[in-house]
Amino acid sequence: MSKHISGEYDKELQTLQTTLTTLGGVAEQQLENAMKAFLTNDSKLAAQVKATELQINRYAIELDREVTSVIARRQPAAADLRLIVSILKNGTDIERVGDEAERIAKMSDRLSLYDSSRPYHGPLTELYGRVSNALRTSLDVYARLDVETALQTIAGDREVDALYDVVVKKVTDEMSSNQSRLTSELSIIWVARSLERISDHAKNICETVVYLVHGQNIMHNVL
Amino acid sequence: MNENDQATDSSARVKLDSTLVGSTVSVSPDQLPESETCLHVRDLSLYYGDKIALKDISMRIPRKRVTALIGPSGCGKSTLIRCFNRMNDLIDSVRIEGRIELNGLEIHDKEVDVSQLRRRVGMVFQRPNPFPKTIYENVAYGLRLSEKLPKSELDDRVEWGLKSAALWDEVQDRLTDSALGLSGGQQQRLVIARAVAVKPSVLLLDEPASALDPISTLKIEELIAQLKADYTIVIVTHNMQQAARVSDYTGFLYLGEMIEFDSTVTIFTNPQEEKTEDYITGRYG
Repeated sequence: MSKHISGEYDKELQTLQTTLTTLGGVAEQQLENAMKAFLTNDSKLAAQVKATELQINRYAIELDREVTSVIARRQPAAADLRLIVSILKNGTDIERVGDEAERIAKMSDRLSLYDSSRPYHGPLTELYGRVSNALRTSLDVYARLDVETALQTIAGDREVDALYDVVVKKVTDEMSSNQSRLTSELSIIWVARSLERISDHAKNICETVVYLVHGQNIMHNVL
Repeated sequence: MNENDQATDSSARVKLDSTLVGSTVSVSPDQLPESETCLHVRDLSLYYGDKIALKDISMRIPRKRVTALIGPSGCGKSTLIRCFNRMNDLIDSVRIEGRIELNGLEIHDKEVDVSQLRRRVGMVFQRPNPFPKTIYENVAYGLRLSEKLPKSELDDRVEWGLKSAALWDEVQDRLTDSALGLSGGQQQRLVIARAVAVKPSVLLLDEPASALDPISTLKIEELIAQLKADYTIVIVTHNMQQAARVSDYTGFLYLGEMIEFDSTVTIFTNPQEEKTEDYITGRYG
């Protein structure tokens, strides 16, 4: 799309996108660190994730402030309006990804020792792999406005939901056979739940790509 | 179902959504029934001598709705709005092709009395143009020309016109004062009172608020929202936010062509034409 008559307006929109991209990058790193801390019982890394969450919150507040300022001063329309709405929505989703990453990091404290020999280990790491990929892809398709890949990622959320069910089943089976590790295993379910929610946020981000490009709201399957 | 099938499924659902939006949220004027059309413009072209100013415009202006015409200076907005009450007849070099039907009646037919047409299609201009007479006489003037009313009925109609233009409360105690003593915003509402007093079916507003301060502008916009219950309103404005605020439908004109005419919501959130998009997002250099 061509530039605005006002170069300042272009700069302001660029700043918003840069802030959102930075936020997305930090949230992605938070998820990676949180899962690593959880799977390897690295309490130092878990503490780092919790500290970085404050940074995400600061970026999110800054993004809200910048968006409000542009709306107040520029009265955006059409593609600009859709861009700003998508930035605002994605900012919220990414900030919540950060919240979920922090929750995963906190679960490290409740886990005596993560045991990779348990039957849930395979599905849990697969779930993490898929969610991590969905988050990375969602941020990527938003930057590239790639509707086709966005729709594929949205569809992939169903498989994440199915994997989540598998993890929960495996953990509850373990719980019923060995009640001595209930607290630890409950934390596995919480982690799986956080991963599933992060996938939902990635799906939301992909839905804004469709909205941004075609002006159509495909959220909640209201189609 | 594999991943690809699911992706195709989602794509199909996106297409379905377009139908849903079109039928419930933002109805295009072309989809409205003929009975809801007030002004039907068909293949309208207008020439100033050899120069073409409007190119083959077709549009249906919905009844008792506000239609805004936007576009850069010289695009033909005012020329088009002036066609609706044949103001362009006053310019010798003008030649018009095509048809304009007002409630099914072709306004260029020989049987049409132009002064009667202008009673039915009232017009308000950019600068308030009250007559150098009293406030009362400004509103009564057009009524006297068109109808013979007894004094008491004339008084009622003047009051009704001033109330319709949301001016009555401000002027009821000084109806015999000169209209030229009113503020710019009040003068513009007086002119609107004068236009509505003769009970037209269409009100044409050519940049009605561009010479007014923000508060007077808001009063005019409020008035437009109230008047659309009884009148079909066509407004030309340079202020895009004003078009977005007051209108139900918006037409974007560029170099004499109607680039896009659709519901205001569609035009301002998801226009279909790149030229419209560029104009309303401030990308025309």
